[in-house]
Order: sequence, then structure tokens, then C-alpha cells
Amino acid sequence: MAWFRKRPFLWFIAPGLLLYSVFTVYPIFSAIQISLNHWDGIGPMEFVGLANYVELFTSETLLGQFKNALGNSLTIFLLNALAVLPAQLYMAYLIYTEVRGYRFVQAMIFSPQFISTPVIVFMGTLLLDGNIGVFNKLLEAIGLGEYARPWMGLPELGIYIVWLLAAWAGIGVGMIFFLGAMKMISGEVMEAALLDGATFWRRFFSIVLPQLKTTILNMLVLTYIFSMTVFDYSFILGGVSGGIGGSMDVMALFFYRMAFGDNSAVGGTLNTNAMGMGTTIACVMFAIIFVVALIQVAISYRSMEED
Amino acid sequence: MKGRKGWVYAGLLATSVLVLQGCGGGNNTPGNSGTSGGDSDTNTNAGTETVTLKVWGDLGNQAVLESAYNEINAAFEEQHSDIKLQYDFAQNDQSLSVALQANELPDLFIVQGDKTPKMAEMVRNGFLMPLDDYNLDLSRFTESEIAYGTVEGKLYSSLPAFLDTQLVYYNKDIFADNGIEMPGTWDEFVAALDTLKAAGITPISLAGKQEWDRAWPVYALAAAHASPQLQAIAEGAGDLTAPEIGQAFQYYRDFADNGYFGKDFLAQDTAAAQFAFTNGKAAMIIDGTWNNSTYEDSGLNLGRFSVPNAEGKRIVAPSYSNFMTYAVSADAEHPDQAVKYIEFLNGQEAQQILENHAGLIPTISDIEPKNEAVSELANFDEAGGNIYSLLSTLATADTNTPDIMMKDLNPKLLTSKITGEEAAQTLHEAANYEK
Amino acid sequence: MWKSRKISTNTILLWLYAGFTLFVLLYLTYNSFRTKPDLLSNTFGIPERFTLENYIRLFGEQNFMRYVGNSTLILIGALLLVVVLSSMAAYGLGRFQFRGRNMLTMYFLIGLMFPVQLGIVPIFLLIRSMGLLNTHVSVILILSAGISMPVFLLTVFFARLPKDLYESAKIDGASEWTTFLRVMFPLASPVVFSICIIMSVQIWNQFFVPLLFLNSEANRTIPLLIMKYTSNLMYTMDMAMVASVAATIPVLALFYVLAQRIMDGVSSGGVKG
Repeated sequence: MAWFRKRPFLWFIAPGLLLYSVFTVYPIFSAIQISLNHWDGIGPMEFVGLANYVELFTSETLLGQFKNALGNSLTIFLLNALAVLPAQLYMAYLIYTEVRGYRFVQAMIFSPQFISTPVIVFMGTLLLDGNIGVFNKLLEAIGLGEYARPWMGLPELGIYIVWLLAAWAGIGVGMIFFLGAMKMISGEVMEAALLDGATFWRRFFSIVLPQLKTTILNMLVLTYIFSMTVFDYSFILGGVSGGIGGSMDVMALFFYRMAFGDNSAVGGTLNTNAMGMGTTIACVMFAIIFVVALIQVAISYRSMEED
Repeated sequence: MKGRKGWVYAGLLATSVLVLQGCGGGNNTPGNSGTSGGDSDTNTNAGTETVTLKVWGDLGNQAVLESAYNEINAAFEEQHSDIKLQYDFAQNDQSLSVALQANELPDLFIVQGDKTPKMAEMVRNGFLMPLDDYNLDLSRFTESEIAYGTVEGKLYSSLPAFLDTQLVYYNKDIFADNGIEMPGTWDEFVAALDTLKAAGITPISLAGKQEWDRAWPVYALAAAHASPQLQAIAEGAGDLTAPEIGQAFQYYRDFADNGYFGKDFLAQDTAAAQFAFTNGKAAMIIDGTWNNSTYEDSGLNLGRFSVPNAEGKRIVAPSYSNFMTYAVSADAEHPDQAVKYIEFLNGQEAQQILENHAGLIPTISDIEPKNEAVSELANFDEAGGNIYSLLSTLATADTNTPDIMMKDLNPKLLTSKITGEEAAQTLHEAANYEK
Repeated sequence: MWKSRKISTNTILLWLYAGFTLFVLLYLTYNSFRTKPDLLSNTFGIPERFTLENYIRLFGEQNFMRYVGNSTLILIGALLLVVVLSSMAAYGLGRFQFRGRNMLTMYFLIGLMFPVQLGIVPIFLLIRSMGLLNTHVSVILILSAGISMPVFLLTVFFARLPKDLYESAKIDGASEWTTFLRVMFPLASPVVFSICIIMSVQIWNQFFVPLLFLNSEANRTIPLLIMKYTSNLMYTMDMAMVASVAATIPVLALFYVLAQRIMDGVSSGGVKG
């Protein structure tokens, strides 16, 4: 008992750790061993060691799809990190300073979170379609009818459409976190800066931003993880094959296509190794996310200790 | 002190578990919304014991099938007072996959017969119960319908009584405005497309973004122009290099080249393509018979025809509907009662109920078509070859031929990157004719 | 006053963005009052009439409130567990120095990195052996195990709290538990509330776990009902829109009222550091 007494943190961590380990981590590790088997998801498993990994990185088609999907996922991450994250900060700061109508604005920005993805995409069609879309009707009304196009589906826009829809739907999440962090800055500090004659944006850069450094670094880690695991929009916009020529393909969709897609044994026609290869891809995806997130967390913790 | 702290935590956890148990328990009663029409007093006749069958319905088609199955299940329970159904729309690929791995299959669930290798794989691994010992009355069914539910000579599922196919839906008003009649031959069809295009109307609306929707014209064109060749390959004679097959692919490419699919068709999804047709922006759409009700509901002056060939014969690509094909789990607790349900689904009464709700094309003559529209859907001369099913039979573990057509060749044809002959050649090289 | 009440370009930009989102919501709502034939054949045009039929169907025949009840029950249970477990774990990780602390923090993150579909079978077997299949408890347990994000964010918060706060509480003779409950947890409330908001939405929108663990219609949640209409979207688009509106607008109103009250309430004082 004395051992526990010296380690009071154990009492705090144990309950969460227990539930999390049983229902979240244990299933992950039990899934990882599937990747060492040749398996269609129905029949008997055949142990093949690392053969699935070797095949993934030597087969021309698989490797090509893998690179393409990884590239698209990274594109989404970069766009999120460079555009969405600053936009979330910007919105949070404006709402924090209680601009006119901020309550309403905050609710609006967050609202797409409540609508299911297929309905969002359907609304996209109603707004942007070439024939019946509101936006194109608007173009016609102002005499620019010849520019009317089905904007949401243009193949040349591919992954950017996926990103735009996902960003519109998800931008409120990060904003809420930044807002929560800003709420913890003392109002007196802000007031004092104002009296010192610091401008609106000066206060943002010299007081708010430094205070939020850790939160921003952490949101970057989460943004990375979420960007790499984006699935819904690619799946609904581009189907299980990820658009023509895989222009909308992402890592999570690549795994899904292998494991549950219509060419897997559980999904449809034929692939005697659907679950084996699908799990292998998920494991590789996991490794990529894990290593980078580890580095990010290390950097973020070091910078925290410097404070 | 430390002891007390521990108890606090233990107490906290225990309380939350109790609270959770409590709120779960209240809702623990098995729901039977699928049988809401059924009467609850089926177990009044004391003596016979009532058993409950757990049945899984197709989650992806719940909205289409719910009302039909409410009625079918109520009728079944009325005739079998000792059997209660717990019918839930809970089956999709993932829930089935989990149920297989966890050995937690319901007594009855949907199978796709010989349309995919999945049912055969389940049979090989002992998940399904063979039905032969029950000597079911199959006299109403044809050989190929029985083959649907048969794996290695044994029967495993209730049998299909309906078929799906692809055909042309057209806007009668637009046709009349442009002086076009329903085409009777291939040449008349092409002439109609030209007339419409010259008049500035999109002749055919196509969802070029969607893997399946953009393939329906291929199904229809291949069946119309190359059915004898496709059927020959299925019987082990000839191969995919037959010029008629290449020609069918070429027609598909020509449609895109000639602008029959309109501008920006590659950017359209299902909703956009169907809206273009229902809003009168396109004269036709090639789609599955299962979408008939969507077009009917639009209130459009709707007509339907199957693509005619040069001689004016209408040959379509059929595929059996799996709306009524269920298998019995090998672990079913009450196999005899489960087979009763299979028997009921094989009967005319249940099939007629489904027809009355869903309006499918019946393959058995004693099923009365729901209405005039269903007769129009079924107005073809011959059920010919289905290119997708054929390619499935030619696939190997390494080369998935149907997938090559769906994901690679079709988009290339639509973007004029390959010719029809090249498409057929690619499939020929990937195909395995040995089987 | 450092808060800005005057209207600037930034404000207008923000309004424009919010206005666009509002327009999408209004267009969705507007379409939910139209009949299916009208939507199909006259998608952009002015409708001949508006109808409440679909709403009547949703609340009558579909028993929409039952789905709301199920979703609410799961939300309350899971959210309570998530907040209690994650703030405790984060406090243990953030407040105390011990070996392996950073590894343990990282360990709590890996739950976000792996597709849940692949690991679901062991969970299924576990839940079955506990006899919890087709109960809400199973879904609550599984969803409240997803504490990765809250633990991660709260750990950093507790780690950054000034040490003297903790020390002074200690000197007053408070136990670890009292310190956490009386001093630390209230300080974290802005973060906790933003976590509550985000996790509520995530739990509310879950469909994969409820799909597998709640077979019978009577136990199902709102996303499963919406999925029924979206899987054949063109066939049931009227109901899909009606269900989306009925599921969105009340929750959004609640968010508007609660989020403001809570977020405004906790902003006082702040943490000096």
C-alpha cells in the first residue's frame, strides 16, 4: 500500500487507463496480428509472416495506390495546417473579443458538425450543380451563365473539393478549443495592453498567440492525426475507388477499399487476402501517423518545458 | 486516509456502472419494430411453445423494403402461431463480417447467391445450413433460379423471383417537342440522340463520377449488341476479342465523344444526373429498374424502353434481385422453423406482397405485376448476357476483371483515352478462361 | 474596453462566412417543407405548396422521439464517463512527475490512429461475454473508452498550471483528491467545457458502434435513422432532409444557449501564469 501511497497519480490514471486499454488499445493490437496472415475475412487464416508488408511495398499497383493516397492525405494535412488552423485562430480571436453578433457567428460556424456527411454532400449538389444549383442560377442571373458548371464534381479539383467540404464542416472544432484556451487569458492583461496603446492585432500577436503556443502545437498534432484519417468525404464524393484515377483517394479509403470494398470477399467479387492486406495497410498507416505524431509531441513538450 | 481514497474511487466506478446498468436495463427488451403489424397474442394457444427467429434484413435498402417486410412478416406470423420473428434491418458488409468472425450470425440473413463468391465461401467454411433434407417445393422456379441458391450441388437459400436490369428512361414531353418517337431500332436510337443534341438538349444524363452509374450504359450496350458472344464465353466458347464486344465498348466511347452525355458529365454524381433528368434538362437517363419509383415520383411524363439492336430486338442484361434470398445459419437454434420462413419466402404470397410494395420485374408468371409501369420495365424480347457477371466468372485472385472494367476502362473510354477494341483486348488479357 | 464592439472588415468577413453557413441551413430547412415530386422535378423553382407531411411522418410513424431518447441516453452516459475518466487521467499525467510519463501520454493518443472497424471483433466478443449485446451500456462503455483527445488536451493544461497553486492547496492540508476536485478541476473548466462540446458532437454522430451493438430498431440512435434515408438518398431525400433538420435545429439552439452561458461564465478571472 505504501507503494501506491508514494504514487498518487496511479489512482487518478487507473480507471481511464483500464477502460481505454480494454476497449481501445487491446483491439488494435489484436488486429495487428491479422496483418501477418493471408485472410479473406470468412475462411481460415493462414500465417504468412511479413509477406503482406513485402507485397504492399513491392507490388506496382499497390505501391502506386499507396503513394497516391498518402500524397493526397498529406495534401489535406498541409492545407489544414496552413489554411484551416490560422482561420480557426482568426475566428476564435474575433469571437473572443466579442465582435458584434459573436454568439450567432459561433453557433453558425460550428453548426455543420451536426449534419451527417451524405446530407452535406447532397446540399453541395443542390447549391453547386450545373443544372439546378443555386450558385449557378445566381451566375445566370447576373449574366455569367456560360460559367455555370457542376463545381463540386470537377475532376481537376479532385482532392481540393474533399478538403474544402471537410474544412467547412470541421472548422468549428478547432475554433472551440482555441476559444477555450483564450478564455483562460486574464482579462486584466488584455485591458492593460489596450491602455498601453496596443492595437487589436498587436494584442493578438504579443499576448494571445504566445499564451496559446502549446494549444496550437497540440492542435497541430490532432490536425495531423485527423487529416491522415479523413474518410467520409472521399468515400461519398469519389466512391470506393476514390474518384477517377484516384484523384480523391486517401489513406483511410485505401485501407477500406482493400478490407471492405467491393472487391473484397466480404464486399463483393474476389480477393482472397482482403482482410490481411487491408489490415496491413491500416498498420502502415498507423505507423506513419504514430512516428510523426511522436516527433510532434516531443517538440511540443520540449517547447513547453522551455516556458 | 489512503484506504478511504481508494473506496471513493471504487464507489465512483461502481455507481457509474450501476447507473449505466440501470439505464440500459430499461431498454433491454428486444424490439420487434420489423413485425409491428404482427399480433402479440400468438402465444395464447397454450401447449405449443413459441420460438423466436432472429432475421437480418438489408440495412442499405431499409427504406425500400421496410413496409413490404412488415406485411410479409405479419402474414408469416399469422400462419405460424408458434413462431415469432425478430426482424431487424441490421445487415451490411461490416456487421456481417463481424457476425461471421464472432460466430454470432442471426438465424436467417440475406445472401447474394451466385452473384458474388461470398455465399460459396461461407458454405465452404460451414456457416450455412443445407436445405436439401427439407425437400422444399421448387416447382415454380427455373433451373437458373435454383442455381442461384446452389453451391456444389446443395441448396442454401430462398430463391429469387425478381430480376433487375438497366434500361432507358425518357421524358415523353421532350421527345414529343422534338418530333421523336420511341426508337424501334439502333439507328433510330442514334438518330434521336442526334436530333436532341442539335436541338441543344442533353440527350442522356450520366453520373460520370460514380463507378456504378456510369457503367449502366455499358451493361445495356453490351447486352444489346453482344449478348450471343457474351453467352458463348459463359459456356466456354469464344473469348472477349469478339468484334461485337469491342464494338459495344466503342459505342459507349462514341456517346461521350459525340456529346450525347452533355457537358461536364464527368463531374456529375448520382443526385446531379438524376436531377438533370427529373428537372427536364436531359431527355433520357440509362439507369436500373430499381430506381423506377424515383422517376415515377417526380411526376414526369415518363416513358421507358430497353436499348434496341440493329434488327430492332431488345436484349437486356439481367441480374437476379436479392431482396428475398435468405440463408439459414448453420448454428440456427431452430432450424425447422427457420426453414418455414424460407418456404414462405419461396411462395407466391410473400412474393406478391413484395411486388405490390416495390414494383420489381417478376420472373414467375403467377406474380401479378404491380402496375403498367412494371410491364413497361419488363418489355424486352430477351434476357441476354450480363457483362459484369461474365467478367466476374473470368476473374482470378490476381486479376479482378470486373474491377478493371469498372475502375479503369470505363473512365478511359469516357475520356477518349482508349478505343472499344483496346478495352476488350485489355479484358481479354486479364481474363482467365480456364474455369 | 479591450473587447471590440465596432464593426471592422474582419467582422464583416466573419459575418459573410456565418451568413453563408446560415444560408445552407435555411436552404436545407426550406427544402424539408417541400414534397418529393416538387423537389425532384422543380428542384430550383418556386414550390407550389409547402407541406408538413414529412414531419408528421417522422414524429408519428417513425417515432423520431424514441431515437432522440436513445441518443440522449447514450450521450449523457458516455459524456459523464469521458469527462470523469479523462480529467482524472490527465491530472495524474500532467500534475505528477514520474518515469514513463511521456510514453503514457503518447499511449493515450494511439486510439485516434487506427480504424476502429478492424479492431471491432475482439470488442464484440468481450461485450458478448459480458452479456451486454443490444444494450445501451455496451455503446456507452465503448464510446467512453475513446478518451484520447480529451486526455491529450487536458494533460497539457494541468502540466502548465503553476506549481504554487498546487503547493498552497497542499499546505492547507487538502488531500490529493480534494485538491483535484476543489481547485484544479474548476480551473480547467474552460478546457473541460470545450471538450464537452466537441465530445458531445462526436458521441452524438457515432453510427458504426451503435450499428453493430444495437440491432433492434427500438434501441437505435438518430444517426442510424438518418443513414436509413441517406443510403437511398434520391429515393428518400425528403425524409433525409426532414430528419436532418429535426436532428440539427434543436441541438443547435441548445448549443447556442448553453455554449454561451457556460463559456461566458467561466471566462472570469482566468489563470495568471
